[in-house]
Amino acid sequence: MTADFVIVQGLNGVAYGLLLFLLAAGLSLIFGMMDVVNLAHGSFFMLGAYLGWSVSRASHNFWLALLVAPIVIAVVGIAIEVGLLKRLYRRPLLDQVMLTFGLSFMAAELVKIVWGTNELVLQPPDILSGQVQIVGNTYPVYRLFVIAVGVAIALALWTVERRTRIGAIIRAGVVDRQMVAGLGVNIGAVFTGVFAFGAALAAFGGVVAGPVTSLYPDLDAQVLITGLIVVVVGGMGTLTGAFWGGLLIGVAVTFLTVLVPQIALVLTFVVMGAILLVRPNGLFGIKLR
Amino acid sequence: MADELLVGRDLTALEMPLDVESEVRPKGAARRWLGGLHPAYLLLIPVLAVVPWAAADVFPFGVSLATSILVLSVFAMSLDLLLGYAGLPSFGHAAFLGLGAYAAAILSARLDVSNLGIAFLAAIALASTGSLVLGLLALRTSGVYFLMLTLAFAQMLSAVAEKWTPVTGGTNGLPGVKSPELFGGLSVPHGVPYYWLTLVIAVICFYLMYRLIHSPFGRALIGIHQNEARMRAIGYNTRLYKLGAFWMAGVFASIAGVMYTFFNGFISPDDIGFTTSGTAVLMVLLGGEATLIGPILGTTVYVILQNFLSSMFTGRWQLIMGALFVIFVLFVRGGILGVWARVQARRSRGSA
Amino acid sequence: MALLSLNAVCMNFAGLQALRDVNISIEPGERRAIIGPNGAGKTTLFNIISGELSPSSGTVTLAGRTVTNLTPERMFRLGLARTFQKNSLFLDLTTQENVRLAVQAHQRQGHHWFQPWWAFDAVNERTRRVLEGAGLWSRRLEPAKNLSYGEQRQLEMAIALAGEPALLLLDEPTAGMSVAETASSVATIGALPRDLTLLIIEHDMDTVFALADRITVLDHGLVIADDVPDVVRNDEQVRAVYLGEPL
Repeated sequence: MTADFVIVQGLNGVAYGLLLFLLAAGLSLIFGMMDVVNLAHGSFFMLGAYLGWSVSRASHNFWLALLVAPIVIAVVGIAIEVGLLKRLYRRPLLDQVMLTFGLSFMAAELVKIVWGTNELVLQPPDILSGQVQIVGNTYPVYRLFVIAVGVAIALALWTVERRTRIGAIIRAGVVDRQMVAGLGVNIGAVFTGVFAFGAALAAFGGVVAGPVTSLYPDLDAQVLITGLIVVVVGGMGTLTGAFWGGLLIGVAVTFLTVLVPQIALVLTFVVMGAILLVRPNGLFGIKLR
Repeated sequence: MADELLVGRDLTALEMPLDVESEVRPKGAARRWLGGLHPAYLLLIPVLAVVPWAAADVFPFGVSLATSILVLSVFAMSLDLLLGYAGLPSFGHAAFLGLGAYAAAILSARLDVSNLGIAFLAAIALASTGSLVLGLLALRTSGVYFLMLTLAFAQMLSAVAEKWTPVTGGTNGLPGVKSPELFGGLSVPHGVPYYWLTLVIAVICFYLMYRLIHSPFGRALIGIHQNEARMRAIGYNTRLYKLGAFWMAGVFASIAGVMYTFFNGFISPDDIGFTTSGTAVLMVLLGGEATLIGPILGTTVYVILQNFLSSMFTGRWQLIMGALFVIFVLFVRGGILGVWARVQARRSRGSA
Repeated sequence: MALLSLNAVCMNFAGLQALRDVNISIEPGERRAIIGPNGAGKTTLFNIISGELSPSSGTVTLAGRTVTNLTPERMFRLGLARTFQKNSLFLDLTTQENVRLAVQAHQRQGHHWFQPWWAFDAVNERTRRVLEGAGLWSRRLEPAKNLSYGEQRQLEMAIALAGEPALLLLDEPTAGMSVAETASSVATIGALPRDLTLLIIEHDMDTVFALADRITVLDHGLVIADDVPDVVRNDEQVRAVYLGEPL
């Protein structure tokens, strides 16, 4: 365990953690505000990645992919929320879970049909594909880009959450949505917005993650599980929780996978269990469930 | 009001309607002996034993289909103990199926021990440990947190199965599972004999679960699902009851797992992943929660549908299946039995 | 020796003093009514006694034993039962099952997992007696949600009684009832065995005077009167608190 090792893996962990944040943020907010466990959230991530791949290949422009994929997925998200999810708000928890589960099933098949089952590689743009020297180590530029983008988004979201009206509405809605509705806010529109935004964020994360991980049809399940762990650890309904939870799990999983690959996921579960023993609502969880 | 299935109602499809006068106890020694089950249901057993076998000429896949329906029914019923009765939304039940399945597979394929009794014992031991560990952690939470924890646990076990190649065969799984053996080394070959063995096991499991549901313990679980705070106020240690339910559900699921492995002759991590857990939930919801017949119905419909779809639309069937999930959730509430109850209610209202 | 006593009990909720230096002593077999305007702290008092809340300071003693911080389950085991202001029933279960679950718990028969529920004679007998006593026998196979409001309140009380408590806390038992239902309720409560100690929160003065041996009056968390009904009826402070309403 040299210092170089720690730095390199540490950076990897932070990059991974920020990708998890992009996924978990939407998942956490959607749950916190709407009481919906969106098992299709991994699908948004995956679809974003695949769409980004197609756009990037067709236009030879990575940045275009970064723009188009989230927008398309946001529209899909709106369609799902308005057309399907809205009918289930008064139903028990399991009904919504089954709906999103069914959707994820469909998405996985769709990906296989459209893009095939082979692993695909999303090429990063040329300016980001080199290496740099960091404290005496050679490190891929792209990963630094991932970290930069992740931090930028986190700051942007934090600003929106703390300083804008919509952020206040969302924070209040997580704690007590009846109250917010009673204050004259169109809670239905807020729900649609939160869902669509969460989906877009996940899709964006998918495109950003593309060059780091390869694309394969089982990606959604892998990412969803880790995302759920992040949300459970960080606390539901809180962006801060998604951020720090993401970093914690990202770094932990990265180090564990390198040091003890066989039992990395088991140990992650142990870490999650340990955290929950002390804080049953997650690190920053506000709702008592 | 007929929209919701009456949980814990004294009138289920299998029980005799209670005498309104004053007797609480069902009439007839045979019924009491069976724990309330109508003796007529015993007739089902020979029917189930003979029909798929006799129809094998016309319907060659019948026996195999029936076996897999029986195995998955036990799995689904065990999940309903949690979902419908205790009110614990577990999305990781495949973990327990997996523990049983891998126990049997490792014993048979790696250690050349195919004795069914030993496989069951190993499965129960593993399931007990697993359910205790998961239960102690997950039962401190409820609702969504509980769901996520069970899901994560199941994924973890699936990952162990994938990585621990020397023991579990890794991503490729464990082929080479031999036919199960009963006491005295009597081997039960595939096909009809195995079907009969499965039928016996399934009937025993059904009977045990039936007794469980109608026992004081089972009724307490229903009470906990309805109103946990009140149950605590009247003196129940609800955490212990939930743990008990969790344990029993895990044990039954692991038994289904053993049967599953011997049926297929093979097990792989895919069989015990997230999809299997979700499918199990669907099978329970499809038939109707909080009943024992519901999961059986749901499993039957699902297995037949899946076989039909995958042979008609190879490669695309999951898309259709997913779409059916979605349509089903949106428009069919309470599952098949729920629809049936509503139809009954409307009919009785109409005739009144 | 007093069955229940509260000594210097105070309850603060984030700066709000819900109860201030409350001292109450209840004899075995007594029927005590707790009255007071809304927000006086009556339900808070109940919550402290039954274990849902822990007081900020002060002690609660049951039959000489300190029970201040015990949980509701423990309090139940010690012989305390309560009803809730908002009904807390098992709505989808039958009336019979609502009571049976309580009896089953009290008789510690909940662990049996193989024998059917109807095979436990002691449980069934007690269930039948409780249901008959509450006048709910004819409705025993109805899902609780189909009962009238008055019947549900009766059921609420029946569940509490199923556990053969020594001390019963009734939180506004006649709230929302019609005149006929109230009269029936009062009769049922009045017919309860005299060795059962009762603590009743009530707003309906007729009920209070029909049932209570002693009345404790709470206002803004303070006990302003604690005496037999005739004395309380004429107490100046009490009359003032009720805005000159004739008692």
